Formats: sequence, structure tokens, C-alpha cells
Amino acid sequence: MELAQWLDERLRDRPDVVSQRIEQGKFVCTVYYMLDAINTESLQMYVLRPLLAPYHGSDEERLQDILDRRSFFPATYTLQPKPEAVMDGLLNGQAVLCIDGQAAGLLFSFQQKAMRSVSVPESEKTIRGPKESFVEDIWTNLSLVRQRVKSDRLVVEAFVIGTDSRTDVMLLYMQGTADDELVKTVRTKLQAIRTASIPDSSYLEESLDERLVSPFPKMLNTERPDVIASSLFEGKIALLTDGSPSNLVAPATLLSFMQSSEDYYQRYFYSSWVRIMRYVFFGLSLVLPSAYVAITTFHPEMMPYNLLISVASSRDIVPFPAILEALIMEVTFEVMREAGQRIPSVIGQTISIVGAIVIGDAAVQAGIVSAPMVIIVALTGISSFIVPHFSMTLTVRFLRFMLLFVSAIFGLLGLIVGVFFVYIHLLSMDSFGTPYLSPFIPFKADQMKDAAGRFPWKKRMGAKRT
Amino acid sequence: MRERPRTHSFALRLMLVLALTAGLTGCWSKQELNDRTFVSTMIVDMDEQGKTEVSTMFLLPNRISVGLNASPGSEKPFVLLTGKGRDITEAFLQIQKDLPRNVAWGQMRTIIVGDRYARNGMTPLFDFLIRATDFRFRVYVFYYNGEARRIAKLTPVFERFPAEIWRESAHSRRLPPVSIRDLLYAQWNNLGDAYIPELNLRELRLPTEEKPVEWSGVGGAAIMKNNAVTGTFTEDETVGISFMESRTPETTLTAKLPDPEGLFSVRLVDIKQTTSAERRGDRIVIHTYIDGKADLVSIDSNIDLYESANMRKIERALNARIRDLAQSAADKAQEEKADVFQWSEFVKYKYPSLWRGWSGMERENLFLHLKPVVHARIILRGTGISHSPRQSSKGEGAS
Repeated sequence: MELAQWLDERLRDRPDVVSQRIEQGKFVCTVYYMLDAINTESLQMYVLRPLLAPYHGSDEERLQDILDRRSFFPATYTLQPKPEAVMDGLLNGQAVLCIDGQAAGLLFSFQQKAMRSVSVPESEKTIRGPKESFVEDIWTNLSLVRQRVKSDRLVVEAFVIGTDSRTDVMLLYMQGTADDELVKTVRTKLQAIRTASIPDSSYLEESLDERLVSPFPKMLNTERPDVIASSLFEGKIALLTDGSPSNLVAPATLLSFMQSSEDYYQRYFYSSWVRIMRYVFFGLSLVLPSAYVAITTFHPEMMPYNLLISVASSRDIVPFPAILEALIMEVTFEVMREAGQRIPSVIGQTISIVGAIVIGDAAVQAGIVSAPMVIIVALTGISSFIVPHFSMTLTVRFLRFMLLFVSAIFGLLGLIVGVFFVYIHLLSMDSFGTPYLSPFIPFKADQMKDAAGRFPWKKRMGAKRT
Repeated sequence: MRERPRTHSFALRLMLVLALTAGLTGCWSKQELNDRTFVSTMIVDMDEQGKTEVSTMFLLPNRISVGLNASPGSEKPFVLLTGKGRDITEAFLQIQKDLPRNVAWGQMRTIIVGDRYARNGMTPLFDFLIRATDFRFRVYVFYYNGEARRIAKLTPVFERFPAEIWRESAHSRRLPPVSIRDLLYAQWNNLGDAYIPELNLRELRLPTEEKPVEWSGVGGAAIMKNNAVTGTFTEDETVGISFMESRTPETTLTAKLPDPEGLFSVRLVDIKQTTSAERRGDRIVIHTYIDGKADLVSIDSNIDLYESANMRKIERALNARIRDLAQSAADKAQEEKADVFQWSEFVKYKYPSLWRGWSGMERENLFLHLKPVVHARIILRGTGISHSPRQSSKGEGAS
């Protein structure tokens, strides 16, 4: 069966496929392409125009010209003898030229994709430093990384994952800097993924995760090319996924979720200070509501006298137990935050004012919740956003509720045991072979210059280059 | 991960250990703040029949309004309840019986002991305190010369609660405060002697207040001997106690200049005491050294302050005054045979053989063989005139 016939049979009822038959004397050919998936101007200019131009020679010579000499079309193309591969190319947005009497098809890459232009990062904003963020197109993303890593040691390995989605995935690492074992592990794992589709990098992240029973993320996802670039320099690997603007970095430790790119662009005094604040408030957002509930219901003698007076007097008219009060507030806050993401920005402000008044003021005035609880929940809510990576914020949110329950039942002891559980879990975790709490546990002195604080570059470089 | 099973079993073991400790905790009762009531002060008295009267001052959160727009309500945010019984527990049970809320002792800050109870012996009180675990050790103890319950009448002017007034007076350390820890230490370790700061209550007519105000503050100090109050220190001796006891805060002192006569006042800073014991045969000399610095605040004399000799003269007068004050307190303690400054400890630990020899008659022997000597070594460092300060001089001691 001829290729054109084969294709016609399979594409008969598809409205998005265009087949255009061109006859010139005895020379007959058909052009196939997906509607709006190719640049028709290029098609006309480089394929149709040469085909339709008068040819001073025989049809055989013309065919020879097209197939062998490759000078007939002023554009690059591939000659594909396999009909299935031709079909793949067509579905991938390439234009296909089938010549009657020929088994092979010509594939032209005139793809034209709906694409967003490179814009400012939205969830990882910085005041100083580059302001480019990844887009959905993998090639644009790769070029954004390449602009920052102009080394021949940068290795890009391509994979196609998903039997239906046929998603392009690229594994990036620096040869010589990245650990070979790490690269091998990731490569093997990527090859082992059997799935129908990869709509986003998060699917990839989950597929690569061995131990799913953990609220902590194992890979860092970032929308900033500069983060990917610096991670590559540090010997980590990066995974770019077509169709996803957030790309993955592995291995990820707790520390890497506490580092913001801003840290590296501002003076190190400030950066170190902010990073320490981040650790403090990370811990605070984890335990503050639980500690408050535990102390007020189990150990009020721990409160300073004057604080007790304030807390006791504002709690006196509250009809609910402290735990219920905390839950009401926390859940309301979660709902507002979740809803806030979906509220159209036009009415967002109105809603947030209503929310603030309802939660902050009216609830206290009506004696439904106490003012200290509002302060605690607000402080906790705000501090959970001090963590620069959203995936870790989600973890903290989740763990906070767990700790709240144990401390409501067992008091501070429950809280301490709960925190121990989290700590032990963190100790047992690793991300692609790197302990999750490193470089703190196990302690690595050479990496401490960019851990709790950030040392000046001059001091750090020496340590890094070894 | 080859390591994982080991980590897990360790984690499980640790969890087990932690879970077991849960059974050891004392504070294991969940109770909302709304169901508790907090004792801020406990007042212990004895009635004429010898029954113990316990009064507890509770906070009333429902009468406290907090915040920016809070107005001080017309009702007092505290209440004093009294119970009577054969001992403290029985008296307290009488109070608890009628209370709608559970009593929490953890926030108690002051204990005030009335004169009759104090003179009768405070051992039952100490026994109660050492057995009850809900107290902090930093609960200040005060003595009131009279029926202590009366002191609850005071009108808090500066603070919201009476307990705050007493606590803040203790914090200001004009007289070093005494906590239950100190008293229990004295009872269990030494001879059961101490001084107890005395609270007073007096009616003041303040031009800014409409009604006469019942004013309370720290006055003198009572001498506790073998867990019972036996006497009181005079005003001067009370000042002396503060020089005898550990760190004194910044304070001012007025003294007399002998020649030419005149009054002068100094601000004393960095006052430190060191006490040591010295054995001379079978006698013990307790040396108390008072070191510190002083700045001249005012002087009612026309002597030339630029003369260093004159400055030394003032310094000598100052040191003599401080020494006299401290010595008077020490002498009073010796006179009363009360080990107020825990001197017995110096003998016990430094000369144990001597102490063992006194066995059975420690108190008598201690005060028979003891001589307290105070050395004041304050340096007057400035004239108070900013243009030509006197840099420093070696303090000329007076002993």
C-alpha cells in the first residue's frame, strides 16, 4: 500500500488534518499537515512553491532531484521510510509530503506552537537578580538554561515519557561535577517510568519518588532558570519537562527549601540574617498554635503572670475549648487561602476585606474566638510563607494540623513527641542518596558556608571549587 | 537504603521510651482556662482560738478588660476568699468547696504571713509548701505585723492587682526579697533562720485621688528564728540587710560628713558582697566585704571637691556609714541569736570538725564563738561635676 493511501485511511475522519493533493502532469504528490500546527507561510514558500514551479526536465529527474540531491526544497527535511514514524511526525506537528509511487515520506519541521513568552517569576519573586521564568515550551526552557551555562560540560539527555502524551523530558547535568551514581539512578528511573501521560513535572516527581509516605518533597521545583543553573554548578541534576514551567532539581534537602535565590543576590549580612529568620519562623509556624493550645489547656503555669491575665481575660467569654477555637481559626484561614487562589482578581480585594473583618474583628467582638488566638493563627499563617518554596509551605501546613491534634490530647509532651516524630522521619529520609538534613546531619563542615547563613563569595568560592 | 531497618527500630525504641515518660508527668489534666481560677497571693493567719486562716486572692478574668479601649471597670478584678481550719489544707478546702472553678496554684507569686501565725511557728506552712508541687520556688514571702488579711484592702494605684505591687516591690530589691526556696533551704539545711521582708499598710491622702488610699509597700524586716518570727529589724538595720545580702541594685544613700559638718548623698552602683569565715582558735570571724562604686549626687558643704584629700574624707565617711548600717544588722542578728545571714553554713562547710564538736548545741555555740566583721570598700569615683571628674582612687576602707 502506498504511504498516501495508508495515511488517508487512518486520518479519514479527522477534521484537523489537511491533505492537499498536487498534480503536475504525471507527477502527483500529497501534503499532509495538522491544521494550525505548522507555519503555512513556510510551507508555501519552501514546499509548495518549488513543487508548483515549472520544471525543465522529466518527472524521473525531478523525483531524483527531490529524493537524492536535496537541493529541490530550500528547507531541511528528513526522509522517513517507516509509515508509523511518518504518522508520529505528522501528529507532532510536522508537514508530510508523500510522493505517489514512493514508500518514504518527507517530513518538514515547520511546527508552530501556541507559546507564552518568557515572563517574570510569580511564586519565586526577587527584588534583585534575574527576572526570567520558565515557560511551558521545553526548548525555550533549555535555551534559558544554556544562556546561563555556556560550558561544554553541560550534558543534555532526552527522553520521551508517556505512551499517549509522548512528553519530552530532558535530563541536565554537568559532566564531572555531578555524581555519576546520581545521574545513573535518575536515568534508570526515568527509563522505568511506565505511564500514559505526563501532564506536568509533578507527575515526574511522584514517579521518581520511592517513598511516598512522607509529607516532605524530595525534589525541588523551580520556575527560575538561575536556580537550575546554580544547582547544576553545585553538582545537582535538573529535569526539564515539556509543558511545565516548573522544573525539577534533585537531590533536594531541607536546606535547599530554605534557600531563596534572593539570598545570593543581596549582601551576605542580610541574606544570612533572613535565612536564620526563615529557620526560626519555619519552626514557629510548625508549632505555634499547638504550643498555645498545649500551654493554655495543660500548663497555664508556664505563662508569665501578665500574659496569663491578658489571655485569660480575652478567653473568658469564648464558648469553645481552645483546640476547637484553634481549629476553627486554622480551618477558616486555610479555606480563605485556598479560595483566595481561585477568586478572580477583580473581586479578590473585596473578598479579602470581608474575610479580614469577619475573622479578625467580628469573631473577636462576638466572643467566638479570642484575640490571642487570632494573633497566633495570623502569625502562623504569615510565617508559613517565609519558606521560599511553596511545596514546603504545604508540608508545614499539613504537619501543623497533626501537631495541633496531639498537643490538644497530650499537651506539651504530645507536641514534643510529635516534633520528635517529624525529626526522626527527617533523619530517616534521603533524596536520591543525599541525607535530607545534610549538611547539618551528617555534619559537613565544608558545606556550612552556605547553610544556616551565607558567607561572602570570596570565602565560599575556595570551598566550592575543591 | 540498607540503613533503614536499623533507623526504624531505633526510632521505634525511642518512641517507646518517650511514650513511657508520658506516664511520669504530673501535669496531665486537660482543663480550659475558663475552668480554672488562678491564685495570685496566699495569706496565712491564725485566729485567737489558734485555728489557721487561709485567704487566697484570685484573679477574676471576667472583670478585666484588656486592650486599647479597655476602661478600668468599677469592680475590682480580684477577690479574696478566706477559709478556716485546723491546718492549711483544711482551711483551703473550705475555700475550694464553694468555688465553681478549679484552683491553679502555678501563678501564685506571694505568700503573706500574719504576725500571730508567724510567731506561732511556720513549720506547718513550710511542710505544706514542700509537699505541694504546683508552686514555683520563686514565690516571695512577706510578713505583716498584724492580721495579714487586712492588707488585701489596699488600693492598687500603680498596678492592677495587689499581688503585682508586692511582686514589683520584691523585684525592685530595695530589700533583697525572700522566696519560699530561701526559707525552705534555711529550714532544711541550716538552723531555720532568716529575715522576712515586712509589708506595711498605711492610709495616705493623696491630692490626686478622691478618696484616702490604702498604700502598701515593703517596710522593715522580721527576724525568723527556728521557723518562727521573734522580732523585727529597725529601719537602719533593714538598710544594713541590703548591704549584707547579695547583689544590691543601684541605690542612693545619704550620710553625714564629720568635719566640716554637712550632709552628702551618693549614688551607689555595682555593690557586691563577699563573705568569708576565718577561724581563730575556737572562735570564728565572719568577714563581709562590701565593694562598689559611688558617685556624689549632692553635698551640703563648701569643701573643695577638687582636693583629693577632701574626696577621701567623703569616701571615708561614706564607708563608715555603710559599715555601721551593715554592722548594725549583723549585730542585731547576733544579739537575737538568729542565723539570718546563714553564717552557720560557713562554719559547717569550712570547719566541719568544729561544727561537729558543737553537735546538739549548734545555735548556742555558733553565737558564742562568732564575731561578724563588716568591711566597706566603696570607691567614690566622681564629684558629680562633669567638667573635672575625679578619675579614680583606691577606696580607703573602714573596718
